[in-house]
Amino acid sequence: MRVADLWWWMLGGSAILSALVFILLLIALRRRGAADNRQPGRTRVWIGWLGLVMPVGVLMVLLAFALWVGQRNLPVGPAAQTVQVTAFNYGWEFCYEDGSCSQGVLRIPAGQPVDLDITATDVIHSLWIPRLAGKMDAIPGQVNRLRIEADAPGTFEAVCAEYCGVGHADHRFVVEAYAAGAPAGRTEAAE
Amino acid sequence: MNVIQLHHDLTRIWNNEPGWRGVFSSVSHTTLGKRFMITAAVFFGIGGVLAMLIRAQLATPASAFTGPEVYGQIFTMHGSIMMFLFAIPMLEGFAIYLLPKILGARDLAYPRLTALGWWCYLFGGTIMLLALLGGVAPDAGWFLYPPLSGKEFTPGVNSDVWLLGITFVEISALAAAIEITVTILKFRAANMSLTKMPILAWYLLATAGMMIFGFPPLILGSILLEVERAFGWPFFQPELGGSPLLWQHLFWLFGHPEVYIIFLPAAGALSTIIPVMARTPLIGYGAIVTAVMALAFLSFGLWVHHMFTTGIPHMALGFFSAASVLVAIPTAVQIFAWIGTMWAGRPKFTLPMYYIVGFFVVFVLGGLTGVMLAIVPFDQQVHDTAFVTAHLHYVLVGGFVFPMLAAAYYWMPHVTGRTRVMRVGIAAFWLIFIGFNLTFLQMHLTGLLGMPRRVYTYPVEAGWTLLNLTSSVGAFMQAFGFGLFALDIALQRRLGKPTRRDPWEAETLEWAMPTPPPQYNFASLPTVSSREPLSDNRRIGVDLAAGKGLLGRAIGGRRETLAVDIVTGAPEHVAILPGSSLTPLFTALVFGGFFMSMLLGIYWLAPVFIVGAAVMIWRWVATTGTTHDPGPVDAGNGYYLPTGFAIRGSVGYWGSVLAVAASGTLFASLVFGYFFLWVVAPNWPPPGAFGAYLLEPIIVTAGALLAVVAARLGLRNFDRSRSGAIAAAAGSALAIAGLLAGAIRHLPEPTFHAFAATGWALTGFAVFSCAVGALAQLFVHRRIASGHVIAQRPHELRTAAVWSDYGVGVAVVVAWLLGLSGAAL
Amino acid sequence: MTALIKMVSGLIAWAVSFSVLYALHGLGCALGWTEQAVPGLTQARVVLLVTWILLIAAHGVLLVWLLRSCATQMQRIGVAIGWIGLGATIVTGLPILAISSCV
Ligand code: HEM
Ligand SMILES: [Cu+2]
Ligand SMILES: [Cu+2]
Repeated sequence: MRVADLWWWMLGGSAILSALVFILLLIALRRRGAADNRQPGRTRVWIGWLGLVMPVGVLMVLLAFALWVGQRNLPVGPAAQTVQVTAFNYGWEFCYEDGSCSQGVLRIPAGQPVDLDITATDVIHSLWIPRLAGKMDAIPGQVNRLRIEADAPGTFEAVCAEYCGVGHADHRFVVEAYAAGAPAGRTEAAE
Repeated sequence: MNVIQLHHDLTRIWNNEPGWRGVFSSVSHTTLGKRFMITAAVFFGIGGVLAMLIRAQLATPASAFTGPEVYGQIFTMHGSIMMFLFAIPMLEGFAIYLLPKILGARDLAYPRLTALGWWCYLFGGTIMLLALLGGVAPDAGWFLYPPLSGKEFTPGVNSDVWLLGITFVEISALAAAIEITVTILKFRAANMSLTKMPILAWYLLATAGMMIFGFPPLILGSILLEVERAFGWPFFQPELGGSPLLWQHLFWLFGHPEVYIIFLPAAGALSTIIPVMARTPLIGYGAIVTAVMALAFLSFGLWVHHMFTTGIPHMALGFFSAASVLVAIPTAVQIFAWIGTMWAGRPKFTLPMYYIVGFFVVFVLGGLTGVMLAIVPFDQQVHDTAFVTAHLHYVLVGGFVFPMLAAAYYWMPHVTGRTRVMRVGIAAFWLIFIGFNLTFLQMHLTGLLGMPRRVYTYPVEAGWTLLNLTSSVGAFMQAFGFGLFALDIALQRRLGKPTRRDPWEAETLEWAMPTPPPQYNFASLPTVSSREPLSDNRRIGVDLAAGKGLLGRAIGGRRETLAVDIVTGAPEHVAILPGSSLTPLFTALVFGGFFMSMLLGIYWLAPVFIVGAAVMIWRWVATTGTTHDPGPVDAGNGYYLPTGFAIRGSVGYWGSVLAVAASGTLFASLVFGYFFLWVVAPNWPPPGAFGAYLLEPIIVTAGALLAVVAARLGLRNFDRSRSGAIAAAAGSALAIAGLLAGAIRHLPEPTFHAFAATGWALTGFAVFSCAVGALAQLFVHRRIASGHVIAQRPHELRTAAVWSDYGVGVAVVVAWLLGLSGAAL
Repeated sequence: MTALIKMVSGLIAWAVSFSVLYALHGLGCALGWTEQAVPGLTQARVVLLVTWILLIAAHGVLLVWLLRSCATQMQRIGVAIGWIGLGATIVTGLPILAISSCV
């Protein structure tokens, strides 16, 4: 997944940058050199190159990459299905294109992009399926669209990420991704 | 004059009143700065205890220690106390105590306002604490999102406590911000131009400026939410055309700058301490000033990064993501300037240095995770998880607590005049440093593994048990560390040996006075020619004490200090400051009465207190000024300067300009809210037909013109000023009449729809502003009669004009906005 | 005071530019300016692009004015801030180039 790539790149970059800062700091503390601040060139190195040029370079690359990844995750282009999601204290309701609804379990076809149209009826919640996508808030009076896609059939835990009152910690649901082609709802015979 | 006699007289003039009365009437910045810091430290302790409760609860899965109701109050109060009752007041206290001392002045610009600020803080904080003890504390998270915090889902007083208590404290923050700004601009040592100021002053100038523009959106949001809760005006209810997102915008429009407001003073302390410890000047003074200004502005363009998951279009998120990334650059400039300074010098490894190194480690990591959070797709993953909890503590503790601990050790010899006694400080450092990282480092991972924040429990199967348990162990370790630190400070205060003056060999003016400092700071005021006055003249402290500087005199029992030209620092006038007074306490009590009557729901009583507040403020300003100006005074060193009574750009004038700027920001936020709801909120347009109306806006405009022209005439020709003031007040009154007529005749009930609610809110704000303007004009009218304002002392006319022009300006905007809106709806 | 305001004018200009772009974007999306104006470009994007370029030009003019006086340290800081404002307006506007306007 692209967001995971982003994370590993950022972690690696941060490790290098923090190492650089800490090593410079350590040397600065241990050098105990003669006060050489009278040499004019130094300020340019510290502030110009290290303080300005280096971060500008790193950050611009990161920003471009990030905007590109974000753009790719947007719900543009056709989705296999659109599901109406309603969050409330303390449950989740999912209504599908065929008019059926389910509570507490979201069923989606695997391997296909699915759009969730998310709203809430009481307070603000946030829909988060950690292994499938980023969060999207469920806000009363407004519908937010989130695109998700499960690579393979399976079950995925989901939680409410925005504090919504005393039941917040247990405001959860599960996602069941069935093999595409099999009609919705047939995979969980065990249920 | 005899030097001993001089000190004796100055002590008599500047000291607090003896006994209990002095406790209530002190206006001294030294006393109040210490009080602010001690109170904030107590709140830090309380917030810390709450943090321990959180960590005790989360240490094991399915813990039965607290239930979700209590847990909600605990984490909300921890966050709110740490941000509003610890960090902000602590930095205010820090600035209040140090600022006049590093600038070479004897006190702040408005000593009684300092006292008012402290009382407001104390009372607001007490309201919050009582609610916590009573089990009715706020419980919707420190950003109090509606609808959860609204009447329907929080029927108790919990949210009201937050809205009213925090707003009360906010008043004190705004007062401090205005005071700090004016003090930096006007009260400096002779010839201290802006670019010769100690670097800390630039940081505090930026901080105070940010507070003036950053706090009003939150104050507005709090007022709107409180009005919604109390009277049902639907600002945030989508069914009636409101939007919960409006709150989020207003909150974070304050909330992000807040983070930098907290960080900048601490960074200023670092920029002050590091060069001293490295025994070399700070490299890149100009670059740092530039970076600080960039931070101050850019941080206002980041707020939406707290709202990346609210469904705002990606392009808009992109604007804010880019700005959030950019803000890392000025921070990097400072980090490398500090390291470069140490590189250039020969650092001594004193106790403050331990905390500074701790700062570098913790803050750099927090800054890097901050950049990660600025990245939209990544933030959408980790937003509202333990990762964010970890990040925010790395930034806040790294960027504020560690530098402040360094600052505490650095300035303790100044506050107490004593040196450190024992080595407990080192042990405390290691406990805090290791404990902190043990608490929060792996919390990044806990968040990445999917643990949301603000959950009171988690299942065993989630696999977060070990991570949470170690976090809790770390937290308790830290708590011991802070306990030891408190002990160390207490020991230093009681048992430390007296220190010599300037023990660190620093270069800034606060070390050119005896320690602990006398209430008047300097027996005579310094003149500077560089940023390092102490290395220019090693004997400067002795010279000043011997009365060889400016204003080394004690005449007529007046509290005098020097005011300078804003840019060049050339001596401009002698400011005469008020002495001890009970007025601030009583004014704060009246404010408190207002907040309490709102909190208890006794709404008919609230207007009584508003009138009371107006009376108090009237009496307050009535005690300033004079009817017989002593004329130009001999300030010493060959300067003959007028007093502050007789000049145009007095400190009162500048304070009014800044207060109007803050009020204007609040107004701008309200106008933003109006359009935001109109464009974004659901259920617009409101049901029914509305037309434009022009009559009332024209009346308001006529009143405004009258007010502005009349004030101008009075300013131009003093003989007309009395009638001018009356006419200006009448103009404001006409504007008020027009505003009210327009609203009553054309706006529906405020509870009908968000359109009507915002319309009434705009009207109410405009009426209030005009009323203030009218009162200001009536006030000068009285002052002309009483002889305080004469042709040679006209500055109150200018100040009144600022208020009345602003009031009618707001009225005109509101009247036309509402008058024409109907046509577009 | 004017010297101080002049010193930070580059950043004030950025704040104005940023607000204008953000407000215009919100307005455009709310009013549904998502038709193709020029092939490949929506109306919202065209409006934003034009505004952005004008704002950058305004920053350039400001910078030229600031560059005329560099005698005092405050004026030199003002020039640096002028550059920062220009850079910040360019960078914060970059999403206009590549990101879909209203999703
Ligand atoms: C000194 C040791 C501290 C510890 C052990 C600590 C611990 C915690 C914990 C466990 C949470 C709750 C996270 C959750 O909701 O899951 C929290 C939240 C928070 N803390 Fe701290 N904290 C400390 C200091 C501070 C300081 C110094 C500040 C600010 C200056 C601060 C500001 C906050 C804020 C704003 C929240 C969020 C509250 C909310 O979610 O509404 N904390 N802290
Ligand atoms: Cu929820
Ligand atoms: Cu932020």
